[in-house]
Amino acid sequence: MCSHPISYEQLIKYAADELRGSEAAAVAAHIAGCGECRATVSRYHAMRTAMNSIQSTPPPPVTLARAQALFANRQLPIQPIPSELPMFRHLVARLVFDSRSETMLTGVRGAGNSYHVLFESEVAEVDLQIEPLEEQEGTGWQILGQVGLDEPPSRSPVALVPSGATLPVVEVDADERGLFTLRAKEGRYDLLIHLVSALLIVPELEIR
Amino acid sequence: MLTSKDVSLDSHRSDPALVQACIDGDEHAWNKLVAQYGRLVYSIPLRCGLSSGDADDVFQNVWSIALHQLPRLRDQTRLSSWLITTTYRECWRLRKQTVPSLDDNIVDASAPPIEDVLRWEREHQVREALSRLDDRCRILLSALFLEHDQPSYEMIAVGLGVPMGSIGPTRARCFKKLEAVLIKMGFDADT
Repeated sequence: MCSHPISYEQLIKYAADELRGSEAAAVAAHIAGCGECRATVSRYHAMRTAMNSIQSTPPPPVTLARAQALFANRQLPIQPIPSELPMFRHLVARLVFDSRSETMLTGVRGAGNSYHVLFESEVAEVDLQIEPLEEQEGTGWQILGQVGLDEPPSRSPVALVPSGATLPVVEVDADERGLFTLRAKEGRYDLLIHLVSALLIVPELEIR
Repeated sequence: MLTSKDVSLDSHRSDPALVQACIDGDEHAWNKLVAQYGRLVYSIPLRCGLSSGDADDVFQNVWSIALHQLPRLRDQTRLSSWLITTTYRECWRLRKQTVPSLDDNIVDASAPPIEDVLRWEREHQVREALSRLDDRCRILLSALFLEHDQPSYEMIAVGLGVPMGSIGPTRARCFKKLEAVLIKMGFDADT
């Protein structure tokens, strides 16, 4: 606060619409030319709006404790991602999360046939949500993927190749956010993602 | 579980510092992170209309993903935004299983509307800022703004053990403290 003809308390009363007549007019005249006080009134309104609309619910203690216990039960060491990218090369991503095994480990109920897997490599993560196609869309599976990159985003070509084969069954380009959608039949595949600096391989991806 | 001592030690750590501590193996930092953002994460599936059982599932999955993504989370300027988006996607995945046609008319059902992200972030910031105030200010501001059956100044004064005439000045002092915390947290009143 700089030198103001009104007190902070008056300002808050004004923001709370508790001033009338000349008092309200005096504060209004002041804040018209004072960005600092205007910002305070604006924050008061934003804060009050936020508080009035808060309908959040805390997690039950058991739910919270179970999530906190994930840290102690983690199986993989957490490795920082290197800041410098390597030369172009083939990188094999490793599985770091599978909602199906998580379900078994934590007792979390399953979500029908869909599942979520997360792969990680030195330069990128690959997030895959795999779900069966709806009846009218035919048989097979849909793969909703996202490539999380440390390097600048690009439209990375993505290919799904049956394990042991050389030709892909489907190829698409990820969008600027790294998102892509594939459809495939049940089976085991390698997912290939052509990054700027490397060919990222997600090996032995089971679609079933 | 987090003790009161841990809370006081950790209460002013920034998100990147908390995440770095998790990467370094500090279990208390992880507990603090989950506790700090737990309400935000847990509320999203409920707001999306999922049951409390489904909300539990989403909650566990989101924190499992967060645990695996810690190195990336360290670089997030807005951790709350990342958590909201990830939670929303988990909700969407679950909802697609139970009612596949629900999201057909939504252009990008896997990403939350930006206005929801901003609103939920703000609500989280305000609640978090309140939690960092002293007891008297937290109780007063919560009574004035958070209680559904908003008590009268008289009732608040009795509850706090102060004269009714001091509620106004105390409110201003407390809001000043809250404003300082919100500014430090990057609260933007104009978005």
